[in-house]
Amino acid sequence: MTTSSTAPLLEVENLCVEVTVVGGKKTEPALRDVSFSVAAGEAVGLVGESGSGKSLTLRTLLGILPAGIKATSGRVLFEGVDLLKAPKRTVNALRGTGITMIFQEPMTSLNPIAKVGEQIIDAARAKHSWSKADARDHALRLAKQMGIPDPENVLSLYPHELSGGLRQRVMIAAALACQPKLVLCDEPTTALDVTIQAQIIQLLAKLKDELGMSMLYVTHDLAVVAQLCQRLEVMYAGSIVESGSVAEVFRKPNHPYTQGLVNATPDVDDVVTDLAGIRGNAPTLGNWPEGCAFHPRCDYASDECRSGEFPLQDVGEGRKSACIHIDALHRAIENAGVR
Amino acid sequence: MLLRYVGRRLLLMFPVAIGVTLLVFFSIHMVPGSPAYTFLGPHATKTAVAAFNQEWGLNRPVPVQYWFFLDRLFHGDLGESLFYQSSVAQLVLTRLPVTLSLLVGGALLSVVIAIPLAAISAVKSGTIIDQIIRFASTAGLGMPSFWIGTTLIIIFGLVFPLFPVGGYGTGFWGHVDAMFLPCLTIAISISPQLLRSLRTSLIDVLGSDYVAFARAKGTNARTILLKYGFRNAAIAAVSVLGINIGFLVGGTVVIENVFALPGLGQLMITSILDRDFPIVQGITLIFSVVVILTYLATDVTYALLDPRVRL
Amino acid sequence: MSDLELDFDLTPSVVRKRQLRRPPTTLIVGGSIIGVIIVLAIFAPLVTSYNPTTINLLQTLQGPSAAHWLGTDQLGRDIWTRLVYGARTDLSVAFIAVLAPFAIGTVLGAFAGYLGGWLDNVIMRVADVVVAFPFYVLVILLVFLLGPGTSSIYIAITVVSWISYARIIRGSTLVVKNQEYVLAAQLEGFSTLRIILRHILPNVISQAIVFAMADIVNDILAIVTLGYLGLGIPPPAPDWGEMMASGQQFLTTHWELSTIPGIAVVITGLGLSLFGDGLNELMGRN
Repeated sequence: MTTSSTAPLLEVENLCVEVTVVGGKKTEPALRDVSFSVAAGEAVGLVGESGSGKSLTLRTLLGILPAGIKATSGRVLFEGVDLLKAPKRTVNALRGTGITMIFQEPMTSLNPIAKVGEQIIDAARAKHSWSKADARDHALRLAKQMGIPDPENVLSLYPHELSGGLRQRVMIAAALACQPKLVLCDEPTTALDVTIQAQIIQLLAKLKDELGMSMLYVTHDLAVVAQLCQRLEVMYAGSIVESGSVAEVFRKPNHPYTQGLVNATPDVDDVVTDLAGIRGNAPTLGNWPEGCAFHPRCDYASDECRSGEFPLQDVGEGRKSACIHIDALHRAIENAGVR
Repeated sequence: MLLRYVGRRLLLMFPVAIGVTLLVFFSIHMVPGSPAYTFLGPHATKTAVAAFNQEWGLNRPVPVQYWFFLDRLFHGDLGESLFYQSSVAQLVLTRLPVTLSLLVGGALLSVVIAIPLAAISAVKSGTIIDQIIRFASTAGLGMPSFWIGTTLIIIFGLVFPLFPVGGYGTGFWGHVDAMFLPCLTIAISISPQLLRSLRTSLIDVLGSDYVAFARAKGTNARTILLKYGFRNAAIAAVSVLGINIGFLVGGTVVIENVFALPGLGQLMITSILDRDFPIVQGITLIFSVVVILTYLATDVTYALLDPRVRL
Repeated sequence: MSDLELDFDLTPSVVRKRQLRRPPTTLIVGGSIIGVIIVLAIFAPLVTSYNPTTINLLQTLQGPSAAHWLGTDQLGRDIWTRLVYGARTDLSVAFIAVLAPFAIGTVLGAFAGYLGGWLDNVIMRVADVVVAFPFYVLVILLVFLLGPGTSSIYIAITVVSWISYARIIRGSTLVVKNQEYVLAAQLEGFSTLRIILRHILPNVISQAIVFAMADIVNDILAIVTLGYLGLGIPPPAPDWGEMMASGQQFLTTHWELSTIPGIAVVITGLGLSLFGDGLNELMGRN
């Protein structure tokens, strides 16, 4: 198989997902025209508040959506294959070996009644038909790679017998056991203590480099994105509102929402700044405002923002934005002072 | 760890067992009407009654009788029947196999019925099949076991004569043949509870994050269904089955009546009407022991399935 | 089998669906069924023209006709009339029978859960002992010891059923008593009784109510079964169980004598169970 260096590993085009309201025939949109891509070896952050649809996006990519939630249009191309239209067999085979996912809460994401070592290796064992001894060796190797101390002992324990950080390492080991090319991360450090968080993020960064994996990292924490990712996509109310490289987006956001997020992130070096929140609340599913979903909370909104569609547009230098008032935003940033 | 858990449960059962003997013993002695008059007739002379009471130890103070009772119990002696020329233990032993096979057969059949239906219902949750299965099991909740038995007799005994409608039959296969309808009756009467509980826990499990993660990392479907799905769902179902079996033991009284089976339940009813206390006592005790053992077995199975419990 | 396809979908905890305002189907259907039966039972004299106990040996075992909608039984009594009056008897006994265990079990469970200690231990041990007796064995025993009659049935059912309520309420109380509003009430110096009554019970009672619905079904089954065994509500009050027992001898010739009351029991049970399911769903939404 020839891999062109320009063809992205994952390409999502105009993905629309709808949720069926309980008992009724009505559906609500949950993802609107979401488009982005992830290149081989690249880490992309998917940032947004709760309810923005970021976790839903990940689950759609993997095809593990609940009943009543369906992708209604668009394409999800993984190595050229549209996962939404491919037969179940193909998609099932890709899980683990092509794409995998790391969940947020390891306590509920691991089988409570199976030993940890088994859970790490069972997927890989089935795909490779290893013997019991081989499987054990592989499990030990993975455990060591994840920095799990005393692996011979730990692998024979149950999830409830481990600490949170260890459980997360186990989950990562299990996810990577089949050496996937793309790892989807659904806020894997949110449920952990801050010190453990740092360790896990370091581990993920190391693994990414060692194994050459791509990552799609969902989080609401910009600081983590800064550490791990090269590019970032900002989501709001089921749509992507901004896209670009991490460095540039932080330096000069192209969307008021992103600006708000950046302002809200405490900066250790800068003692002068006040922590600014974004006024108002993020809209819940089904209650998205007309027009630009962000306009009720936006300082730069005009009448035009109250209706119509605001798709992601190319704004040059590999960046995209859905905002029509970027100039006003940039002027305001400059006026706020030298940064 | 597991052994210690089992040991602890056994220890806890002990006071319960004692409590059971207490309750049984003292309740029987509240029965209105003395056995002497029942046995000898209402016109019995006082001397005859006194002799009767003397022979059966019924004239001693009650606590003393209780002590003797416990003592005999520990030696496996359940007393002598007042009306049959036989020890209670003997009578019980003869009839125990009938009742036990009814219980075991019924429990097994119910599992055979409930598991596949619950699986289908859970996996196809929300579809017509699921709704039909759920409706059927809700309807089943309201069916008295004797009605189920009678209806089965009508269908398979009279309309399509496939099975005998009463009695225990002769020979091994005769027994199996005769026990099929009674066991099926029991199975149908407890399957609804089992099915509902299993279905709910299966749905919970299949929708859980750990099944989602198992899929995400590429675990194959068979492993997911068996190790992740069923084993976890079984944990909740085992408790329900245990409770239902406890309920079931009493249900044999009714079923044996409907199908004229020579088991402990039938003996119980006739003995109550005869005021034959030792038998009533003995059977109640045996039933309670079976129930207690069932609960113990349930606890052990639960601990085997769920490692979080065996602290 | 490793490529067996999973074609069911999973439910992540992330996405919440909005609930419709309309009450659940099961509640409506179940409620209707049981509503009809209750109405028929209450207005029995209006929907039947016969006396359920009058024997008429000239008109025994007749099939359905204009005069007797469901025919007559072996003593010439109109079956439809006995059916409706039987509903009256059985339903009223069942509804009343559920009250005492509900009350006793809830109170004991709440105290046991809240206070813990020796009270909890004693109550739970007693419960364990009672539970070791199979339900019907104990009920039959008690009814026999206390003599036939409706009050014996009430007592027997109470003795046996309070435990489930106690366990349910105790379990919920254990969870609730660590909540902050309970802690706050304790700090304010409210008496134990007041805390249990005003703060704990209102929050745990819904589970007991849902169970009570299922328990009524159990009680109806128990009453009917006792009637079948000859230990139930004493004659001449019509009782579905007794009707089924006496009809059994005519199984081959007039199977309707036994089957009709049986169907009545099943339908009643179905209605109540559906209603209980609906209630459960409704409460689960809150």
